[in-house]
Amino acid sequence: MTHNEIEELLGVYALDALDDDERQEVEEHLPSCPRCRAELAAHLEVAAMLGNAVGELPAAAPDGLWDRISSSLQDEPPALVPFRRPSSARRLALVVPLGAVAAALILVVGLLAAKVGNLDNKVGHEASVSSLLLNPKHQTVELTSAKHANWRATVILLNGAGYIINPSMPAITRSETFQLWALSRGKVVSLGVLGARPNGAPIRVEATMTLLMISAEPLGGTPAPTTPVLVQGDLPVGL
Amino acid sequence: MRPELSAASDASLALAIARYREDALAEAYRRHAGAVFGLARRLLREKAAAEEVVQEVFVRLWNAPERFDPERGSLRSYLLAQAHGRAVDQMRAESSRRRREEREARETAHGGYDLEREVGDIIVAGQVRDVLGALPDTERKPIELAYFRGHTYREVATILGEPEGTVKSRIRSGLKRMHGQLAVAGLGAKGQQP
Repeated sequence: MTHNEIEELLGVYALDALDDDERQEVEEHLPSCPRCRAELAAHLEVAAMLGNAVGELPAAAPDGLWDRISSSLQDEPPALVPFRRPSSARRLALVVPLGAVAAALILVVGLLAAKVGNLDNKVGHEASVSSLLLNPKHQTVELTSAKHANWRATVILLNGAGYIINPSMPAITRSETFQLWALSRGKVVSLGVLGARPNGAPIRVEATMTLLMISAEPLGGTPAPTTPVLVQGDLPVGL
Repeated sequence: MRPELSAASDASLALAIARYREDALAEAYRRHAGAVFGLARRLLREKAAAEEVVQEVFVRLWNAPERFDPERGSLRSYLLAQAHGRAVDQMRAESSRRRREEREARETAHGGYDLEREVGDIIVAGQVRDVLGALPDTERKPIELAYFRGHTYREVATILGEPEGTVKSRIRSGLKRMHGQLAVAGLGAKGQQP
């Protein structure tokens, strides 16, 4: 479909009035076309107002519905905590090398993991992220994937401390967690498990670290990566 | 609930939800579930089906809060858009489509098909209603049939006896016209807070 043909569909797209095949074509076109995205945003605004203006609004949703929703929510993930050291050496034997980068490296149980603080579970955390972003001295590290253009995460840092923001990574199962790794003096060390949703997770890096990586690991974390790295990015020199 | 949540912005709420704070989700539910339910009920007509949509929408907000982008509009708009999409999906699912068609056939048999009456009972509040009502019929009807009745534009074309190309153009031009009018009336993306 040409740009002009897609453009003609934007109104009906905003109203969910497209068949699946055409909807898919619109969705494939949008990422590459700022003009269509801008037009669609305006259509969506109008659609939202239509939805918002439906009359006879009940004051609230029916009784009991919240309880059903609440009980269907998944359990909380582990907060950002250092992984537990495995009790047997057998677990180490399961370790699979990372990939080209780390295959030859000696994997080290993450001594640094204990330095990672617990996830601050407050709304006030947003302020920490924004104040860090507002500080002109902050540094940004983009973690990306060579294979999947849409897998990525950003790390913002100031004096070695910061946060993971805007992660976009593949879905993981309930028995998995994201885990953060760093390359330090040629060794892969764990910086802690991130849970299922790494957005806003605080991190701390050391001057010896040169590369950050995230992988999906069994819940609870592992001493060394057991799956391929999802995203990675070089740390700036002289943190 | 911690006191700060009741005054938290949408963005702060979404962030707290991303941190697995269930009280933040409860606050989002308190603010917006009524509107979400109202829209779903309007579209699906069945209470149980509408409740299901509400549940899906809020569970999805819990599981993927990052999909809500505060830059692009209010949380309520986002939730309503989600609810609309889900409700329309349900309406188009084979079994419910059959039920709907049977119901519409019954209604037609009783009262005769009357588009004005079909969509006329859609009560749209205040200025949005005025702006929608001020559109030329050729634009208003396809928008109402698509948005409030969940029809695809091809179905709308069949209902109105118009070419498909005409219908999609008119929906697009009608939305543009509404956007202009609503902007004139001072209603923009940020004007949707309760």
